[in-house]
Amino acid sequence: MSATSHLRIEGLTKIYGSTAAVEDVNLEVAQGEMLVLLGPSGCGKTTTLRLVAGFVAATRGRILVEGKDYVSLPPYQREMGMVFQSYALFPHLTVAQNVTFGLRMRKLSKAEISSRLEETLEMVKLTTMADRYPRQLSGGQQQRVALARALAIRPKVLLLDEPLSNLDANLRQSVAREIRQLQRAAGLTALMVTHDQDEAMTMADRLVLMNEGRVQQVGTQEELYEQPLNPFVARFIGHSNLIAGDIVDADSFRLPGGGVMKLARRYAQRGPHTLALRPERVRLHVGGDAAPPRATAQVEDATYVGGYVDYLLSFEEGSSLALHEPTGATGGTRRAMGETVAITWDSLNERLFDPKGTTIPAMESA
Amino acid sequence: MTTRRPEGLTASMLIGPATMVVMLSLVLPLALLARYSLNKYDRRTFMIDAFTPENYLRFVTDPFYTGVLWTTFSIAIVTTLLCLLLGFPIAYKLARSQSRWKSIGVLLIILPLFIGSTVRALGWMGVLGRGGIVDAAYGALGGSGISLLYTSFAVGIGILSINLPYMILTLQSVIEGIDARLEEAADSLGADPTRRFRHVVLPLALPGIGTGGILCFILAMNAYATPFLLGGARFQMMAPMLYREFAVNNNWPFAAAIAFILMLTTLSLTAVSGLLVQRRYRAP
Amino acid sequence: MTDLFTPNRRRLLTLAAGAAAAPFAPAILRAQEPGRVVMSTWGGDYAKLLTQNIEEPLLKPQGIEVVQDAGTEPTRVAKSIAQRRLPRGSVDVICVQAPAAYDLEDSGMLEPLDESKVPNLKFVQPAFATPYSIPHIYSPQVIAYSPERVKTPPKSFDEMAAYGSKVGILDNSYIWVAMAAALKQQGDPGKIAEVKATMEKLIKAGARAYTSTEAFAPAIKSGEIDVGLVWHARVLFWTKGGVEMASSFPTEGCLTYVSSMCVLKNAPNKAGAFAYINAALDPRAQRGFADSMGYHPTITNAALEGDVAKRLALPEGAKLLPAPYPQLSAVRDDMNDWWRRLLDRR
Repeated sequence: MSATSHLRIEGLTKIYGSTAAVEDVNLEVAQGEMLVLLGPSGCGKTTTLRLVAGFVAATRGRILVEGKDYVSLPPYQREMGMVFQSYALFPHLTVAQNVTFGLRMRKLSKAEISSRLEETLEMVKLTTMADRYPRQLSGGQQQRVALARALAIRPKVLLLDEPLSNLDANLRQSVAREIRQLQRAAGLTALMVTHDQDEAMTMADRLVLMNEGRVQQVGTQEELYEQPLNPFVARFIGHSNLIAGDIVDADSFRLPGGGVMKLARRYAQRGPHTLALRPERVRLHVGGDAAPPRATAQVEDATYVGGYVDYLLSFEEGSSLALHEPTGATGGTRRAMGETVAITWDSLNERLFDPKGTTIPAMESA
Repeated sequence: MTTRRPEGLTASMLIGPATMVVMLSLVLPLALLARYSLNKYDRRTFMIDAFTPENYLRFVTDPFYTGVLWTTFSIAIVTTLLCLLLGFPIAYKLARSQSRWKSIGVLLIILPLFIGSTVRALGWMGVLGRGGIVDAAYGALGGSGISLLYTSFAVGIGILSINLPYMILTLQSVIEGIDARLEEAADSLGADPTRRFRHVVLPLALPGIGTGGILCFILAMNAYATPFLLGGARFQMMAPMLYREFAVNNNWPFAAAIAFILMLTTLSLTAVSGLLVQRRYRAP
Repeated sequence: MTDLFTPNRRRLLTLAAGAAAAPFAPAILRAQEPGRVVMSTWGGDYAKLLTQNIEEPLLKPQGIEVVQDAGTEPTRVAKSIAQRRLPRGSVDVICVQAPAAYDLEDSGMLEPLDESKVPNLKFVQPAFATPYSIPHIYSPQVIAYSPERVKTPPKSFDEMAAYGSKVGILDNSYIWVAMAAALKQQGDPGKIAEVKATMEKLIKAGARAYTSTEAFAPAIKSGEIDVGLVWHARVLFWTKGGVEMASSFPTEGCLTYVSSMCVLKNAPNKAGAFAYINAALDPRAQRGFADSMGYHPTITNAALEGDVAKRLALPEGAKLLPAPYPQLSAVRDDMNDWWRRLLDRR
């Protein structure tokens, strides 16, 4: 990857007073790739983006584009196109003046400016709006002007700060698709920030999940979902039941209350661990199952939500588990409250984390 | 938003009485003043009913009076421009500051407003006068006897110090209303600080510059205590002259005419600058 | 406060009557009660001393209660002029400087006074007596100088004027300086317009003009000026405040500041008004003012004693003259205009 990386961030750190807003972030983005920074609010994703844009001065680290370090350059020399959450269109300028702002700052020729304006407006389908003012446009149109303004300067990197969050829900998907198309068509390397998981999943080539100023995991959607590197990733991407207990035997997991679950794989480690199970990857044990059930629990709550029945099950000591049973097979019948049910899961869907939060491998001879 | 509904009617009925009071208390004295300005002055009865433009003619045809108007106008323009030049950077810093010192900074700027202009002028007298701070400092450096008091410089400094807080506060609130992201957007589009200021901050701050400028201009045109105390007897500005005509010479008709000339000059200049700002800012 | 309304009766009744009379209504009501006198006076120390020396000790025992209507002289004069056509005004006694008293009399607004109404008039020093007002206090105009820098005190206007740029003039009493010049050079303080050249010379020589009276003492102190014509009481006041300053009485005579009290023709309580000004001429009251303000008593039967007498003592042969009010009144407007231009042109 490093051979083809277009944007490279090395050891990027921002410290405010005594707290690190961003700590030792290392990222590589390939030419034409869309990397999405995801995480809860305050995780450092926005600061990372603003560090790259140059609005915030880095405490340490390097920001390399095509091998050149931009970290100490002021933003106006970075050639990064930024799309703001609030669009930040210049209210006193028309659409055309907004779009050509960067070109005029670069002192391009009149002819060049007008041809690029035409081209860019065509791209975002706003040719007829050139003489309007931002306040005369709808939210979606403003968003496209913001995009056009950033694209017009033919930036080396496109930065997107929550570009969809100010849009109506029903507009988001189409705008998301539009942004992706434009970015792909221009072959632009892009860095986007969002707190919305679905948005991130839809738009990213790869995802970066951040928490407390640090990168938790970088990878494709599948990698983050199927192979979370730590409990935070497991819980944040999709949902996971995180169950605390002890590995007491190669395949036995004892809950604090004393109940024991049968693990799907065998482990060398012993002692306290966290078991991560996704609700949709756990199922009720049925008579046809060859293997015995892995645990039993009581139905605390059962909600029919269409595609599945959402069960809340509890083990004896209050540790509980969410389970999604697809309604396709059962026709939506629900188990009664308080009923004791047996549950099971496949070995692929079982992940165990040690107290430090790192995933532990199963023994080969499962 | 179009709220041309019964509530609108109710609202206008509610503000009706207040508007009437304001109009009456504003228009009635003005009407009386306008009437007086057409009367004749008489030493014994002070005023004789008449309908003559001679008070106005006396003012506009006498270079002494037009000179005073011109001095007042020059001082007002210069101090307003200086307020703008000095106030903008401070206002900008305050508006964009996020530190906890910001509120202290704002307080420091508001604080002088608690002290009347007379008291502040007296303070300046101590600074600029003979034996004052400037004089003492100059003396310590080997010079002798410098008195800046009773000069146009003293009046300018005095008015500047009084008007600057108004300018800063006006600009600050307007600059705070300019989304900081707009500046970042300009930044990311390749505008260096100078061009960012010229193409984004300045045009968007123009209404504030207009309001602050008009405010300072009006205050300077009507300044009384400052020119009276810091300008001394030899430095003539409109408001002290107006007061002298009214209270010392008891010439109400002429004082009324001066008042009207001052008011109309200020108003028309204000209106013109207001229109210019509006045209510049308002999109067609 | 500027109660601008016309002295024209017709308009008063039509346009301004209701609105303009309203602010005075409470005073009118008060004044109609028996035993109440409305006193139009300067605020501050003067008003306080009126209360301490006249109203409390002398009038209260007579059952007269005084309501003070304090304000600057022009404002109060304007108010009285505005009310002159009303059969009953709101003010009984008005305190003004003697020139303004002359103007009010000239406009026919003052009640004539005599000993039947104000018995103490018979003690008034004849030089300051008028048929329409009582002189309440007075202070001669003297040449104030810095004893530190002025070794031989100037003995006349001309000797003072020789100090040129070291002369200080109080802008609001420049005309008194002009009268002093006229007294010396023309032998008649009334020939005010004749000394324009002298005044011009003084200004051209760089004499300072101060818009506030308070600026005079610091100017003497800092060495900006060495001499200037001011009221004797002022010199005493500043000396008491620690400023090195002394007085010299010009040999040609001192024009004298007089603070007058007059009764308005439409005073609602004339008897009370007469009682008031009679009390103001009482020796006890007169001594009180001399003691606190440094102004001289205007009556012959209030000899001062002790320290006050020493401070206020006038040198042997000092000539005090009242200002020539009619001449002053006649030329004042022209002189004011001329003076403004003179100052401005420099």
